[in-house]
Amino acid sequence: MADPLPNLISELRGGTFVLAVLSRLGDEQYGYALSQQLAEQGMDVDQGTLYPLLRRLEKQGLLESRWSVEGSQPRRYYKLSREGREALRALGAEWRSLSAAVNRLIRKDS
Amino acid sequence: MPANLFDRYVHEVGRRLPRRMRADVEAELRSLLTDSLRGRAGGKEPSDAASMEAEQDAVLKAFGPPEKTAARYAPPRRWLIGPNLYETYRITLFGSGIGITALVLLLGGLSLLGGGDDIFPGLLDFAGVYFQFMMIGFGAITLVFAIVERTLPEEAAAEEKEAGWDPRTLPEIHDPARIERGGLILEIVGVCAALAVFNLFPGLIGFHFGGYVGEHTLRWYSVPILSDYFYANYLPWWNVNFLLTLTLNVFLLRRGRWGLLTRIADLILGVYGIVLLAAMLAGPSLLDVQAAPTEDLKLVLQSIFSGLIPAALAVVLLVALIDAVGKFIKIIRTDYEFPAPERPGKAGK
Repeated sequence: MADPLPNLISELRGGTFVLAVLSRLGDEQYGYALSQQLAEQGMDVDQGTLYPLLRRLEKQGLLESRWSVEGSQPRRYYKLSREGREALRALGAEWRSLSAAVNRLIRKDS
Repeated sequence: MPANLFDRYVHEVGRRLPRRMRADVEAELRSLLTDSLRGRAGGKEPSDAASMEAEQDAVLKAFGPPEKTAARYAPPRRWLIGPNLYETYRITLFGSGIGITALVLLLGGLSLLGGGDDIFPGLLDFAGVYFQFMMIGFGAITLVFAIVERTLPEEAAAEEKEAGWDPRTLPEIHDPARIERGGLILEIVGVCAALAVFNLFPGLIGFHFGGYVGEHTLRWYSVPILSDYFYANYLPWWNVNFLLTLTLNVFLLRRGRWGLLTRIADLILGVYGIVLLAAMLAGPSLLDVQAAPTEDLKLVLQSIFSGLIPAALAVVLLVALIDAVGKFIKIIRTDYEFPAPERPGKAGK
C-alpha cells in the first residue's frame, strides 16, 4: 500500500495556500514574483497550482488584475480587491484561532 | 522554423481550454514561462539555441504536462471526457471513423456494383447503414471513455502521464490557416486537365481498344461512353465549378493563407459539387455506347459501365460529403487570428 503521508501533507499545505497568497497581495504582484516571495518565506507552491489559483480568486472577486506591457514583456499584475481584504481579515482570524487550537491539541498528545 | 517548446506548450494547453478563456490564459502562461526561464538564468535568457531548449525543458517539467495545466485552468468539471483523456479519446474516435468509413465503403461499393440500374434506393440504405455504424461505434467509444473518466482517479491519470513526460515530445504547432501549396497546384493541374478533356477532347472519355482487321492490320477503336444528356445538362455546371475552383486556388496561392471567407467559399464549392453528383446519380443514365462498332460490344460495354458509373459516382459523392463535413468543422473550430498575438489583447479588470 502506498505511503499516505505525502498526500496528507499536500492536503494540509493546500488548505493554507489561499491565505498565504492573499497575505502577499496587499501590493500588486505578478505571478512569478509572488511565487518567489512565497518560496522565500518557506511556502513552496507548485507553479502549475499557483497561477490557476490566482485566476480562480480573481473570478471569485477576491483579486483584481491588470495587464502591464511596460518593460520587456507583458505581465499580469494581481492585487487584493475590497472583498479580498475582507476575506484576508476573516481568514487570518480563522487561521490564528485554528492554529492555536491545533497547537494545544498537538502539545497534549506529544 | 519550428516553434520553440514554450510556444508548443502554450498551444497544447490552450487548445484544451474553452475558447472564451483561451487567448487570455495563453498570454498569461507565456508571460509566466518567460519569467520562470529568466528566473532560472538570473534575469537573462540563454544565448544559444541548445541551452535555451534545455532551460525551457526544465521550466516546462516544473509546470507539468499540458493536460494537467489545462485541467487546473479549466472551469470546474462539466465535461463528459476531461483533458486527461480527451486526446486519446479524439484519436480513438478519428481512427474508428476511418475504419468504419472504409468498411462501409467497401461493403457498399460491392453491393452497388451488383445493383444494376436501381441504384438510388441502394444508396439510401447505404447512407442509413453508414449512419448506424457511426452512431454505434462513436456511442460505444464515448461510453467507455466516460466510464473510465469517472472511475480512474483524477490524480492517478495525471501522475501516470507526468511520470514519463518529456517537453521535447510536444507536437509541433499545426497552423490551420497555412495553405498546402503542393496540393493547391496539383488541384489546379487536375482541374485544367478536366476542363480540357471534357470540353475539347470528350472522345477520350470512353473505351479504347485495338483490333485486327484482316490478318495484319491493327485498327484502334474508341467508343465514347458518356451520353449527350451529360454534356448538355451537367457539363456547363461542372465548368462553372471548375472555373470557380481555379479562381479560388489561384487567389489562395497569391494570398498565402486561408481565411474565414476562403474557407466558406471552399465549402460552398464542395457543396455545389455534391449537389451536382447527387443530381447525376438520381437523374437519367449517363451511359451511351451507341458508337460501339458491333452489337456484341455494345452489350458488353453496357453491362460493364451501367453499374460502374453509378458506383464510381456514389463513392466520389461519399468522399465529397466527408470532405465537406471536414471543411465545415474547420470553419467552426478554427480561430483565424492564428497564431495567437504575443501580447494580451485586452486589459484585465
